[in-house]
Amino acid sequence: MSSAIDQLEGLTTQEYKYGFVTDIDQETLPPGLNEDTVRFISARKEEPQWLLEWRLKAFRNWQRMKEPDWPNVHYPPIDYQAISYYAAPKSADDRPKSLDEVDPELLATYEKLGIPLEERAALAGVAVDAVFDSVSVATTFREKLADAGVIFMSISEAVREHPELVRKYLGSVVPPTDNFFASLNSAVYSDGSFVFIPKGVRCPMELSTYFRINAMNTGQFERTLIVAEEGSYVSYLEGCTAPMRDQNQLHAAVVELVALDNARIKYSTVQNWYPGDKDGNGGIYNFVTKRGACRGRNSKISWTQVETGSAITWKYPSCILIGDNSVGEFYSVAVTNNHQQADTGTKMIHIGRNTTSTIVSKGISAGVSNNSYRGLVKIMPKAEGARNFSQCDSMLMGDRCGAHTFPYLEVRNKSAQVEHEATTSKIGEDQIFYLNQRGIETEDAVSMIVNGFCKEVFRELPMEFAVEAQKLLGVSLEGSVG
Amino acid sequence: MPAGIASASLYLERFSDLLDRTAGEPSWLRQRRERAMERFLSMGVPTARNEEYKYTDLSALAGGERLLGLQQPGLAAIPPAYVGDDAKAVWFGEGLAVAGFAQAGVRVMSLREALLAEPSLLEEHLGTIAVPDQHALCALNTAFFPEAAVVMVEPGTLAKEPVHLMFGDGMGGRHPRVLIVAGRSSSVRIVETYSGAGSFWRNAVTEIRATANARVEHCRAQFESTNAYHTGVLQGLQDRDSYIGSFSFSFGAKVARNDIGTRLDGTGCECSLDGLYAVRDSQHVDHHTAIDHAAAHCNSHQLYKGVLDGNTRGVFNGKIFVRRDAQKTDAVQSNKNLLLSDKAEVNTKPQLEIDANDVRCTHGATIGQLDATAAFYLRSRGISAADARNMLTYAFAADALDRVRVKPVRHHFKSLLLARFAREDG
Repeated sequence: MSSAIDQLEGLTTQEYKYGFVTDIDQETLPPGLNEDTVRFISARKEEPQWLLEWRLKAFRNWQRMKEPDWPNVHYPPIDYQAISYYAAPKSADDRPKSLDEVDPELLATYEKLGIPLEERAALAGVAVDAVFDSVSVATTFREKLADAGVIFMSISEAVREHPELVRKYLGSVVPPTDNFFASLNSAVYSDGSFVFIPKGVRCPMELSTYFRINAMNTGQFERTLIVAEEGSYVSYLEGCTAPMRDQNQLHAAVVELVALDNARIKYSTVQNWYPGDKDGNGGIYNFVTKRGACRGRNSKISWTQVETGSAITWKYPSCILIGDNSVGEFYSVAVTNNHQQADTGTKMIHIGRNTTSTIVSKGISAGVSNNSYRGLVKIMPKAEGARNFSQCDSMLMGDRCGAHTFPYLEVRNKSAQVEHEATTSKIGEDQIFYLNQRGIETEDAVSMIVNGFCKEVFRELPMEFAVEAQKLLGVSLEGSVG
Repeated sequence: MPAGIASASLYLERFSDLLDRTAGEPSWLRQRRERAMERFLSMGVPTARNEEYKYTDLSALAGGERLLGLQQPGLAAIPPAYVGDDAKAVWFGEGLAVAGFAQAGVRVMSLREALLAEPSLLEEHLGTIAVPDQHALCALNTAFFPEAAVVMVEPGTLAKEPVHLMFGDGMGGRHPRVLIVAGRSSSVRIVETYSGAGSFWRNAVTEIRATANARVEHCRAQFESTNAYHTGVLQGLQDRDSYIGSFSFSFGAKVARNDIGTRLDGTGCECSLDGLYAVRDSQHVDHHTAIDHAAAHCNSHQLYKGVLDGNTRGVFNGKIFVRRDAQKTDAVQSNKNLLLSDKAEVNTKPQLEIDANDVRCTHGATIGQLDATAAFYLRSRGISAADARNMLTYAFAADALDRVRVKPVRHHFKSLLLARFAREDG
């Protein structure tokens, strides 16, 4: 034990030789996964011994696990030995040199979303200095955050600079043995974000991965850990609305949230990874484990997500309501078009007294896509006075798409009140007709109706995100009606 | 050997006995039995590892002794016949009695009679509506039923009196099998009751074929001893413009599991699957429904209500499938549960799987307790706490019972319900 502590100290005091931006061209590991891969990743990241052990434990466990087959999604079997688990960021030579080399269709999408010119290049992966403009922005934000005492850095940095915090909370919400993809992530996670909000601090701004420059290439196995101490508040934004190109097909991220007494965490996601082309070729597999623990009294965790991308989505942001009077919320819009498949929903586990949860899920399917809501509300015997309200609405746009709901309700306390309702319907022809008749094009009419359908969720998004999300919805559903 | 069956010897032994006893059966039926036996042995008795049985573990039954073992019949209270006063019950033997079928256009036959009278109809329907291939318990019944009640309703017949099938003790009573074929534009009401004392396992299968424009109102009630296991399958197949109504009462048994489904196979069909489960002490009741909308312009309704007291567990899983091109479907499902005790548990999973776009499907599920303000109001009017509780419980469940179309059944169950949760202390 003492040697481990020595090692820790050694690591924490040494200077981080890669700097804050991982822009150096590192070697890429050949495809394959075994214990040596895990050791290699850990060594490259100069991780302490305990973290290596932690990764190895997860890996050994993963080897014994079976890939889940219960989700309502279909894809060819993944060969986990054919993936490279340590890929360096693309060097500038491989990337498009200017916007002229980028797929015009992608550029047209940026145009519609109203993305500023300088950001388009960054999003399309163009190797221009524009990307690094945000470095200065990031630095300014960093100073402001540091003044407030907020820690916001990549998780690899945090392992070096705040090992005691990381060690205390990492894997405490999603244990390395949790599920197939979470175990895989624990074994080989590349990088991610770490946020720590100290006691009584209200984070002065909305945190976004966008501001953390070295988050640009965290790769396929992202790990995020957010800890909110007593009485603190943070709003965290993940992803961005523009379609992101990525060379990795499999994404297995893990997000852990911890809220102590009276703390509040608001986590908003806009996910728009490449969904594959119109015929269903390519596209990202997005297999994510997200979970928040309301450990303290009166704590609150709120998940808001807008899912429009990825060929396959498998994602259930959950809340474990341990503290008395704690609150869990889940607001989701999931859109699938063409050949996309989504199996997404939430879990609300009520353990403490007077815990409350709200679930609002809006699924929209178009083309030949399949959209499933899968959720669990579990009221444990001690959860006196627990309350849940769930609403899952689906909208179908096209006669070849599917909408499915699989809500599980398990109640073991009689004082609990649990309500679930779901509806499935078609986009209203009479509504489209009415809008047409007022001179609005069918495409705009559809976008307007769909936005109305999703309003309850968009309302929960931070303002800028909400505006972008509305535009995104219109773009995602393009060509699905008429 | 599948996980569900530790030793298949008892099943195989009894199966060969049965084949000896039923040597005169036509070859198609024999082949279906053999095929079902094969399927059962490969699937085994379902355990909690099977997603469909996640909350209802039947591994205690795996050996088959409760189903196939020789047991002394107990003396169970036989429910009243829910038919006209002058109708007499006729014993079919092997644990089955039938009342109320002496009416024009309705024939109730034993398996042997039906095989002689309507061989082609039987070959068409028996074992083809409730398909044993993917359902272990359905396969088990198909392999083993020694006797069957076959109800044939002639085209155009509007049967006035309900037909009441009573399953009591005896071997036939442990593998009840019913086939109902309603001819074109006919209408019939059928009541099945299951009773029995002692510790046994009953595994029932009912198949209903509603041909064009036919109307079948079915009601199934089980009040077996609280040491018994009950598993049941009810499967309907509907032609265009037909209607099947099903009501399932589950009051008895230690563990009861019902799989109720219908396939709407022609345009303009309608079905309603309703039920009430009211359990206490340490009973476990599970309803799985599946409505398969295979054709356009069909409507379905479901209302399941549950009252759970003591240490009980209530499970509900309602599936609605809307197949591609089953446009203009209107499906409504609702499951409401009342918890009377802190130790009771509810697991509900309403499930929609929709592959057509021009549809309206809704489902709702609620779980809650008695309204404290309503109880307070009643008390303020001078009604005792115990009475207030009974009244409110009754009121919660009674509206489901209003969907039962056979009046004497409705009245009988309303009175049972009122007495069921009566407590003096409040």
